[in-house]
Amino acid sequence: MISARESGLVGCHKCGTVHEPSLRECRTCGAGLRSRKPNSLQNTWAWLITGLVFYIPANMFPLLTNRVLGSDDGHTIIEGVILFYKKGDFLVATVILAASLIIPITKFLIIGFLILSIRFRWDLSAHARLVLYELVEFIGRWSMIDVFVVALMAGLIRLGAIISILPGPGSVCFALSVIFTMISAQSIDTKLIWDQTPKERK
Amino acid sequence: MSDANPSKLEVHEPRKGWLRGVSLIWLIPVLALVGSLGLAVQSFLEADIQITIEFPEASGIEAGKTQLKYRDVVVGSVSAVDFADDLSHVDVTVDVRRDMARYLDDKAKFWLVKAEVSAEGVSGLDTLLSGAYINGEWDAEPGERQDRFVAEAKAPIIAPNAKGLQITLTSTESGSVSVGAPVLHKGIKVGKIEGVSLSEDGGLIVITAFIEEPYDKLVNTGTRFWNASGIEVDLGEAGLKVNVESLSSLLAGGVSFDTSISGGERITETTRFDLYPNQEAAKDSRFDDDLRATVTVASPFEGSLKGLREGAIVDYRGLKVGEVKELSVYDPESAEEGDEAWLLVTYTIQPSRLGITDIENPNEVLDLLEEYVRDGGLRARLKPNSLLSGGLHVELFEDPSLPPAVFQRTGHPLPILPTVPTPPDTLRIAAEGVLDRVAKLPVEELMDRMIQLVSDIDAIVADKDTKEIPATVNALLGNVNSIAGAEATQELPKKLNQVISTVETMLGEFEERKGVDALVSSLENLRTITSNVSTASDQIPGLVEDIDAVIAKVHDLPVETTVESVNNVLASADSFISSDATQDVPAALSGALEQVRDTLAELRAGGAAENLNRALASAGNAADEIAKAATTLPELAQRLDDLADTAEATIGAYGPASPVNREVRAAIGDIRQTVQSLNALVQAIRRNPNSLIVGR
Repeated sequence: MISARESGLVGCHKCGTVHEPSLRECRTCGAGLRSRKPNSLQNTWAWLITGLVFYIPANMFPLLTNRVLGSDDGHTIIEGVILFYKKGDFLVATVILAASLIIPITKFLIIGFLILSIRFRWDLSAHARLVLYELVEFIGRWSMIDVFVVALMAGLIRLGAIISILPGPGSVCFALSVIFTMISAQSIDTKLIWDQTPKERK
Repeated sequence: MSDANPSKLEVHEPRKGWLRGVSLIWLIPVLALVGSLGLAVQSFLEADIQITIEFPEASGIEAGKTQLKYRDVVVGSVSAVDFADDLSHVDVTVDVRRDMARYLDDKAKFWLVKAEVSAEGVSGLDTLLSGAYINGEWDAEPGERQDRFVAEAKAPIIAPNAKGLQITLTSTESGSVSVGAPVLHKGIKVGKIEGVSLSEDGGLIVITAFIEEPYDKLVNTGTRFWNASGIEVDLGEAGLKVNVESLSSLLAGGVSFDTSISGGERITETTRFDLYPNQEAAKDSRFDDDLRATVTVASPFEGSLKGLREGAIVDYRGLKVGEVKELSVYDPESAEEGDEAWLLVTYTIQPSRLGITDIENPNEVLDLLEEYVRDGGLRARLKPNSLLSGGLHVELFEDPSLPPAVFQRTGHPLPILPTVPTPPDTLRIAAEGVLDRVAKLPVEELMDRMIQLVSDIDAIVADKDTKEIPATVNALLGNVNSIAGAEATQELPKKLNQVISTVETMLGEFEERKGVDALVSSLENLRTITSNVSTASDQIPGLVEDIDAVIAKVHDLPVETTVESVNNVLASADSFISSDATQDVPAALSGALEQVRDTLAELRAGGAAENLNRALASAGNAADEIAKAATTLPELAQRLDDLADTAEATIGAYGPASPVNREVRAAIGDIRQTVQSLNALVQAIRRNPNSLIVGR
């Protein structure tokens, strides 16, 4: 297997068509042609750190506030998990734990590992890296489940002072964190995986 | 893509330079960091501060639910309820808004507000809906922050930052003054009773009262306070007296004040006042200004003092100058064996009422009294009170003709003012109960006698002889005129004296007869008048002459028959009086009066008025609370209504036939019914707040 760069060509990032390096635009889809995304790793780092920064308040502030008969009661993510666990709702507790804690943290770790491995050319098969990347891409779309639940509940349960659910500052931070993590994952130029891979086949 | 010899793409290495390598993308995490830190700082600045309030028990306090309110605004909530280390109380941890922290100094007070039905009224009815809450009160002056407080057992009567004047009232009996009772001025509420407690020695009741701004200006050193509790019934020397301060005080009880003494000085700090038992006593006390000059003296009296009680007045020429303080047995050192025991009456004399002013020292008063006793013949004697009330009082009088006596400055142990013996009548009049005398009053006989007399007079007037009388009188007057200049006029006073002696004998006779005791005193008065006339006759002999002549002529007139008929009338009346049926009537009257008296006594002793006051005050409070609560009820109703609307709309989105939908619709119907009943309740309460207390 040989990469476009190794063949002296430039592959379009969007449609994959291979062009002569002199061309500036893809003939197929019209996207700008670049051999590699500029500053890809740096951008990924920046977005990842931004996501991490927002992940901290997302866990410190209450995700949602339920107002029952006028008295407010806010819970952070971990409080919610503990609450459900104590109530015996193990399934719900597990789902929240997975969606809000395990998945985002796994994402941070995988992305961090990927860019570190690219940067420092760790001895890892390109395929394994690709699988990891695909995994991040796949679970990324499920990370918003918390925010989705909060948005849904806040919209549905709104009976004034009797019972209402209000989104807390934590949910905004969580949403931002997820968004930035997704951007971070998008920023990784997957072609870099092959650039730095030691040519084990050769 | 399987070219064997692919030409390498020329890859330019990025240019070096420490800033060149850094992308602008790093601005985003920096901004995010700044934003997050800002959020953190903001939340730290807005974070509640924690205070701990010690409660004896945590009834109604729930962590996460119970709120802390200041002026009915929520400023915090209970975050934890814990026992103290030694289990002696409950530590309630409250998160308080940070902006309130600086006011939480040692003057802040906290207490629990919950629905309470007590002797002092129904309070906190609104907490039935919202749950109990902790109320805090603090002044607007930032002070040194405290984070540990001890809750008040009860809501303070006066808000800590209320403006006004605090005063202390002292009284020997609390009457119906209770905590929370109003302080009235001319029937308007201007303050409240804050506390009622005993003095340290237990002898006085100390009442703390608070006069609100701007009425505090009405209180000065000349102000007198009195107990204005409901009805006052007094059976005193002035007869039966029923005094109702005002309808509002009848309902609420309390303390009234008035400033009847001019020239009082403004007071600014807590001042002590006396609480008088009634308005009259308070008004009387106007003369108490120079209490420092009041002297206490004693007078020994021989024989019974029955009818003289503590508090009886001491008068001088009809003006009250003091009052009797104590009655005791007197055993003078000079007393010989076998002497009848004397009784000592201790009483006060206020020189200002004697017209003696500018006196700073009681000794000066005693000097003056000594002088009066020695030179003016000042003595004390017992005198009966008014006919109706019975009882005795002490009278000071001056009679220079009395044998000399000494004012004993170093008496036993008080200075002793000499006395004169008490006439036996005085004691008898005094000893007889008022009601006895009322019972004895021959009211019905008197009426009968009057009717008979009138008919007799009618007969006399109708008589032919009577019609001739005017002519005779004219002639008589002519004779009087001629006599006016006669020499015999000079002897008239002697004759008059004879008349007086006759009257005196008559008096003696009257005294022997039962049932006409009342006449004795008036006859005595008559004697005085007569003697006065006797003195006056020296200057106006003509008048006396006339009278004498008239008397003489009257003797000649054919009045004898008339007198006889009158005598007959009297005789018939006497027989009527002595009949058994007549005797029974006064007894019945007496019984009725006894009952009235007993009832009054019970009323005063049992504190019935007090209870009534409390109950009525409670009712008043309750009505207020209910009115308050009633204003919150419609809100709840509205909310429930909204809930029903929203729920219905939400449910409408589901399929109409699903079983969930049916049940939910039923539930909504219930909610609507609740709303309707709530509205009905609110209206019922508004129409008739009492219904909550007494039922429908």
